[in-house]
Amino acid sequence: MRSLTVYYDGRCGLCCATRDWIDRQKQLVKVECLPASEPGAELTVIGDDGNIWEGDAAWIVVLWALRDYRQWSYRLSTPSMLPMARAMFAKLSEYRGSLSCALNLEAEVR
Amino acid sequence: MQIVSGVDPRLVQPDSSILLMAYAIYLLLSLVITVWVARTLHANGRLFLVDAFHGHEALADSVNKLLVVGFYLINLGWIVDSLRIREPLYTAPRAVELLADKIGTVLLVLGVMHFFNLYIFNRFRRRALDELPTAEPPIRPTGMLPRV
Repeated sequence: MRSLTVYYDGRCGLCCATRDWIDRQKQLVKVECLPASEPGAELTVIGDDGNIWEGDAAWIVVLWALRDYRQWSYRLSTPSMLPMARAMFAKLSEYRGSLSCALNLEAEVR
Repeated sequence: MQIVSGVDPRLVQPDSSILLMAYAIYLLLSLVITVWVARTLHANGRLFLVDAFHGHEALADSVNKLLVVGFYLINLGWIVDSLRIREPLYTAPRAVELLADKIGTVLLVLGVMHFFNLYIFNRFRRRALDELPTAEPPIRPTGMLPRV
């Protein structure tokens, strides 16, 4: 896999901030971020080989694509860490709206 | 050689030649062992480093040399620092016991340092392998795009 596309929720300020952060990172696999056509959709990653990762798996694949966080993606996907990582990413997704408000992060798409 | 048993200990003086001999043996043995471990590390660690630096041999050799220098500094520092025998030495058997104590500690320190170095070598190498273009994501895809 040489590149992957991330479809994020364009209505969520936290997601837009995360996208900017991803763009600033050193990438081992090229990451392209696009707002999902269906607003409010779950985070989805599609690799250039046609593989799809949704939800918490998508978070881990994005970390894996970034040079400085690849080791973290391996750590988080070990059997002992994965349930915790899943729970954490699920909560983060669930409360992304209120988190964006709390952190004062503006979304670009309304 | 003095025979202590049966003699009033207050009349026996500590023997400085035994002490000197103990120091000499301690330094010699510790140095030989340190050099041996360092050379082993230097010779066998190279392959790990060449892998870790994606086949960049000059860089691997340079890091290898720097690691060995650090290894020598820490070990020789430890050896010199713990040279002193604090109790007065009267007999050779006691000197041998103290010597065994000290060299045992040096061996243990060398062992810990050696495994720590192996850990570092392996971590470098693992990291390099993980960053190869052929590496796969650690998590299975949840789906697949339909083939057109």
